[in-house]
Amino acid sequence: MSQPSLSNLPGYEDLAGRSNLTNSQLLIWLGQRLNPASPLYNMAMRFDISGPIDYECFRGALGDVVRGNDAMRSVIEVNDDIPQQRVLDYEDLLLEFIDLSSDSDKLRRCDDEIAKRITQRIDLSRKNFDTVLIKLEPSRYTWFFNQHHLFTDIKSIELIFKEVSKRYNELCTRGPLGAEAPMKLPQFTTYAAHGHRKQEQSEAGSQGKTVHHIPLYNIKVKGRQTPAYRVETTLTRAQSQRLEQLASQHDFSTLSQELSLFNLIITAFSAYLYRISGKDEITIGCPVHNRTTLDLKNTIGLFIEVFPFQLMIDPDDTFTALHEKVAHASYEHLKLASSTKSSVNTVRGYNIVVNYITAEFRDFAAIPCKTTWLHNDHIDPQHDLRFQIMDLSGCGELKLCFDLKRELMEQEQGVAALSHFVNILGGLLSEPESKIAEVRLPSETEATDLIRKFSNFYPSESTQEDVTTGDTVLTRFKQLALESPEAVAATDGSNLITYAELDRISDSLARIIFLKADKPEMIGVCATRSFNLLFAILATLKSGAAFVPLDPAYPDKRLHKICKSADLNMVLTDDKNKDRLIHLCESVLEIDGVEDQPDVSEQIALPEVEPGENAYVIFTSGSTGEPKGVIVQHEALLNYVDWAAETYCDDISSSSTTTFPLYSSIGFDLTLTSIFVPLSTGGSIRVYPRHHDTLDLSVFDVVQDDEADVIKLTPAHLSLLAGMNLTNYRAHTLILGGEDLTTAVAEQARKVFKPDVRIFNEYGPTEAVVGCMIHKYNPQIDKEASVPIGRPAKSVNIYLLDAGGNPVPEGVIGEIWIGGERLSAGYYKQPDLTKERFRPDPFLPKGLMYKSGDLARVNSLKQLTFLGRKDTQVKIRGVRIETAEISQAVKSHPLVADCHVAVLEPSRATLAEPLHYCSVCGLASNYPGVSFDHAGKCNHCQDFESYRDLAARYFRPMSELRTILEERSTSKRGKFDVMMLLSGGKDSTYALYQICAMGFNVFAMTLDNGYISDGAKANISRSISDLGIEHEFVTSAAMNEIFSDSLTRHSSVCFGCFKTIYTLAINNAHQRGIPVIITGLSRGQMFETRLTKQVFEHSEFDPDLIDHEVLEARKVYHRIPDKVTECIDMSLFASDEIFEKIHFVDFYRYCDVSMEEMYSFLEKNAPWTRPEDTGRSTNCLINDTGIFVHKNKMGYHNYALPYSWDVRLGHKQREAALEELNDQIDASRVHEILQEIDFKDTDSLENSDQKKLVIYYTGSELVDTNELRAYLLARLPEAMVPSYYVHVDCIPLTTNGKVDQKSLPDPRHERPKLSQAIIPATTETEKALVRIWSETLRINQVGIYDNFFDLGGDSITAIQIVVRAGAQGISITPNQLFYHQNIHQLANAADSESPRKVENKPEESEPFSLVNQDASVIDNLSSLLEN
Amino acid sequence: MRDKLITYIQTELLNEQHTITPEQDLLISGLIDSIGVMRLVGFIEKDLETTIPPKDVTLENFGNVNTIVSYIDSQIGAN
Repeated sequence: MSQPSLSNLPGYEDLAGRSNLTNSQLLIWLGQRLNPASPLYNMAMRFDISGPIDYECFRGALGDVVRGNDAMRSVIEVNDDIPQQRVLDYEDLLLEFIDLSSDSDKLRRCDDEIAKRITQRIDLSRKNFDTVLIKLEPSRYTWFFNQHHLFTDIKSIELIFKEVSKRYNELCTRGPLGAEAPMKLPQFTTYAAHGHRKQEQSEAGSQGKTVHHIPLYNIKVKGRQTPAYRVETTLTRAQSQRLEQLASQHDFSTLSQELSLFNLIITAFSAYLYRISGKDEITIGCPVHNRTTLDLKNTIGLFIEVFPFQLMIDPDDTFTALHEKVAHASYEHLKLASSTKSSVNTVRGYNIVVNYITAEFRDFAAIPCKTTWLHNDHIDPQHDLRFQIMDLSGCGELKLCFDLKRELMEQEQGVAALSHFVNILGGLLSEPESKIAEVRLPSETEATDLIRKFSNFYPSESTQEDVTTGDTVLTRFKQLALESPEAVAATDGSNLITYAELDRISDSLARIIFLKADKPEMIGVCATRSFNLLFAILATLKSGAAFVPLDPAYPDKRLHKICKSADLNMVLTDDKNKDRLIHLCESVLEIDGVEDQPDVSEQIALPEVEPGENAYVIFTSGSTGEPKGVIVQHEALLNYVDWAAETYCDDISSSSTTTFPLYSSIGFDLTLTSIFVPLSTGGSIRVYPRHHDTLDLSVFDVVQDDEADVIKLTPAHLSLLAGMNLTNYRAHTLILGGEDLTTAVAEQARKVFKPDVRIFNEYGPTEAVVGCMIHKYNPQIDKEASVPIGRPAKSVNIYLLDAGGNPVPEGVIGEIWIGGERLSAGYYKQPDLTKERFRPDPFLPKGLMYKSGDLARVNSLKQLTFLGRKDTQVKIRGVRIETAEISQAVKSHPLVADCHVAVLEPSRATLAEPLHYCSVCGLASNYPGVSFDHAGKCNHCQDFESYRDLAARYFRPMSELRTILEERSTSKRGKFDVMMLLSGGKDSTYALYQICAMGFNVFAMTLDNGYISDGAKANISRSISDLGIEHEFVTSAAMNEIFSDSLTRHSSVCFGCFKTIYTLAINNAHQRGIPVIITGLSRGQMFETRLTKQVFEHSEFDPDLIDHEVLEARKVYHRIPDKVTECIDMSLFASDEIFEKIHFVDFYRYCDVSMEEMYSFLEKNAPWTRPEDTGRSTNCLINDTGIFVHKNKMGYHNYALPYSWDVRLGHKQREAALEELNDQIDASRVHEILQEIDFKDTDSLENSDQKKLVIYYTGSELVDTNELRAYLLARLPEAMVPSYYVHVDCIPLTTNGKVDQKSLPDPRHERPKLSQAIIPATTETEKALVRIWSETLRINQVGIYDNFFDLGGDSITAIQIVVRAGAQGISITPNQLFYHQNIHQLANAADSESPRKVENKPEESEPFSLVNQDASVIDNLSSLLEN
Repeated sequence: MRDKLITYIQTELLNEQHTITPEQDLLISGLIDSIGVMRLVGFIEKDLETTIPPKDVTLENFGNVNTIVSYIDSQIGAN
């Protein structure tokens, strides 16, 4: 529908006296139209007049004001969807009058009457205000006046009030006859007429700044409701005076006192917004009265306009520093307001409005009067909060109102919210130099309450338990060994060990230790996961020492660092690791065979181990770059173990023993649960040794065995299991720890394991002993992006505090501090660090609390939700990592000058945000470069519409196929006319039947890549014998190498497979003298690869040219060196001659057949059945592996685009395609296949929804990535070695001097790491080619010496580049591209051949866009504003 | 410049209802408000094809026509 535009209308005022609305009016009209039933624009005032009122004079006065001001007599008329205003003729004003003076319940009746009227809709087609005068007593009246915002603003109401008051006075003193004629004010319609023509006012365009939604208390509001409420408070006189005093101080004063006050309030308010949302980019809407001339100041009507007010907060800001930014933003805001009109662009996007009202209403005709602006209980649905500041009576006491959307929070919370703001303002008033991050938000009562809600430990409780029983994990274990000596303590798949044996052997080893050294304080334990490891740990504890876990997988340098930091002089190790430890540590004790040794001397008494002694010291990554040792005492360990046993084992039937798998790294305290919980409760341990993979994948062994009941694992482990079916698996409990558990991963777990599997999210830093908070996942309730970390464990207090150590209100992000009874004893030999992280607990006398550095907030269910780290510490695969330690290692490389370690968050598409799909073809939103229009249609579908008809010319009739084949068959050198590439699928089988039916002598060939399904093979044999033709299965011995190479190069198995097929086919056809090879390439594939948008964009579309380019591409395709060219005989391809001898023909270029027809043909005429043993529509069992790797590496499905073409062309149903694309893939099967084909890049096994580390480094030269990676692997644990390495010229900083994360390139779109430096373009042709290459190859940086194929180029991109270059006047052929494989050479070639000028035509970018429904409504309507 | 400013203020901001003198206070008296000052800033910037830095838009520099003129002179002098 085309919208009539105002600019087409005649003149400003038409013959019927109608005139157009101003921009501001139109915006309000649109807002009302979007919410037709809501009274959100009612501006209701209540004037309580404490004196007698003469009704007639009052009516006369109001009547005169209405008569004299057109804005009070205007109504709206809508014609052809265009609203216009019309000024009505004046009719005598009928002023409604209610006399309640004799009513016994007059005050309530009066309030009720007003309450009713506030929310009454004003019918703008009849009038624009509603008013009533209520008599309460002879000298007490209430005047209610409610006008629609479309015709008024607060300054306008102030004028009305003053005018009525003045006129009433005049009429009262002089009488209606004696009174002078009223003075006429300027009229609104005059302004409306000129407003549009005002010279210097231009429409405010997009301001170029992004507007960020500010989630108040981190609450997400989805609805677009208008119901709201107002909470208010009045500043004390002292506070108001202090504010005024500050405003007049030199540092804070500006052009006017009003502006200075406004700036101060905004300073406090933006600090408040930052505090309650955590957002440092603040955008709020601030109205400006916009009465820029003296006349306008005296005009009744709507002038107010809202403009965005933007500033950036630094969390370290003091109020003074923030004020400086506010003053600057304020200037920008005023400048914008004074030079532009408000428009859809200036009023949209922000959810918070601050309205500083300067209107004043004093006496009414010298009678004392109290004025109240009444809230209409509604709010613009775009706004969550409107903050109104006013002093309507002018008495010097500021009133602050929060108008809050009801669906955001309950009124009680609203009251608290306002009090939080007042506390922030209080901070500014009392100490402008204080930091905004340190002011306490909640009141004292609220604060106490917040602390109490998350405290599980009270000293009174502990005193009884504190009467030390002397228990430790050792006494628990000993007791079990005595009670049930034959119970199984551990198994490893082939052997088992009983409690008695474990006790005896560890005793014996403890005595050996005891004899070796004089009770060492700490002993290193470095053993592969085995019984030996258990002996070593228990023996160490029994000897009275603390064990220091040393994961054998650590590189030597790291082990050395830990041994040194811990001053270890004894390490228990096994045969495998002995040699590498000998030079690291003085005394290395080998434990292999200890079980067979006779006990050294049973007479030696082992020491009694006291609960206060150290049990273990775990070294974790330290922020100084050196690992730090966390000391945990027996008491705390037992406390954890008892709680864990209670939580995880108790409520499950105790008839059988509970088995925990021991399969994760011992260097990581998460693993301790699986050792000490079973050994203290009579359970058993199933030990899984580590494989020799770089990535420890023992978790697959755990689930293959089905022996575990309770599995402790990280979310990273869990995501490895995605797609497996373990629903009959016995595990009943999963304990997730180590890192943030997303709801998506928890849901995945419910699909993998039995649906009623218990999923516990355990949170806790090593310093608080494994786990100190717990939440049992509840799929019905837990719908946030992350599963909550829940509530504190027994004996634990959790405090969520701000930077000033104050509790934060619910919803607000704070840092987790952990108090109570279960804390580590600090860091080994680091008293300063211990003091810094373990502080006196202000909420618990004599207690200590640990500063975790973790951020969290309390959700609406009173549970904690984890929100990441405050500092640079990150967790990758559950391992705690200080980026400083990585930086230190990187910087120690001689070629690195500086570096920055960043964490790459999972791509948006794979995280909480669900994918959405093209409404037509189903293409997913995570496909690179896809965008959607308002109807949800993707750009590929839109583009296709434009060239669909043209493209039809590429397709030819079947008769032409026959002609071609007949012609070609004359050059055959054997008996066969054609070779058919037969995959066994429906397309190639159908094609085969058709070609045979045409009477040609066909030879069929199939590549057996080792993964062809039996079903497909059976189909092939049946069809072949049915048709009675010759057929051969060909293969290559190097197939697995080819797959592995293809995965490395293209993250796909198909690429290598196809190239093998074509290469073998040409060899084979040549041998047999066959002149034609027929492919079953589908039309979708033709569109995807050769009939791309670019082909149709520019020059004349010529199908022959496409054929020519495809042939040229084919020639080069076979010559790109890779595994295929390495392993298969390529001698035929030495010259182009072979491509003359053998032609490729795509059957479906000539045949148009629907899927249904195809199926029904095959059903009737061929012995072909749909294979059931593969994943969906493929005959190949390795296909899933390719998809899995591609999804993980590239973030999207490699069939997304091909399938979208199938759907677009009607060869597949959208829903069926989506279902297939969203199939879960069994990761363990993928793992197996990857091992089979010997694909070593374990990174690809990890889900792309995992965090990845990236290094940005500077230095005079690029360091070879493989070299840098190897360098780090020798120094850091595997989990700390980054996945991506990016060389940058400098590390960019923000204005606040911090690393500017946002301007660092995302390495996922990064140029591959090449030893070739990035040399920038110099000539125009080079520059144009760099642009084209980087767009086509989707790489952000391209150097002129970069090899096309190294950048991931292939024949398809080659064609795209040729076409794009042609469009910009650079004439190159695909062949040239293949002979000149870098831009420098290519540009030279192009320039020498065609010295044409390069047009500088920047390609249009296609930003990802989400369709916001409301936005689109506004966009449609806003065409009305374009005048 | 002085006359240009007076004309602009009188016609554009005061609708020719007031006449002003160069030394007459504009801001403290409330004759023009902060939005008015910003329009004045816009006018000067356009007329002189210059940019006035925010920190210079103060009560001292924009108090009356005389102070504005001397501010402008000092700026042009500086350039």
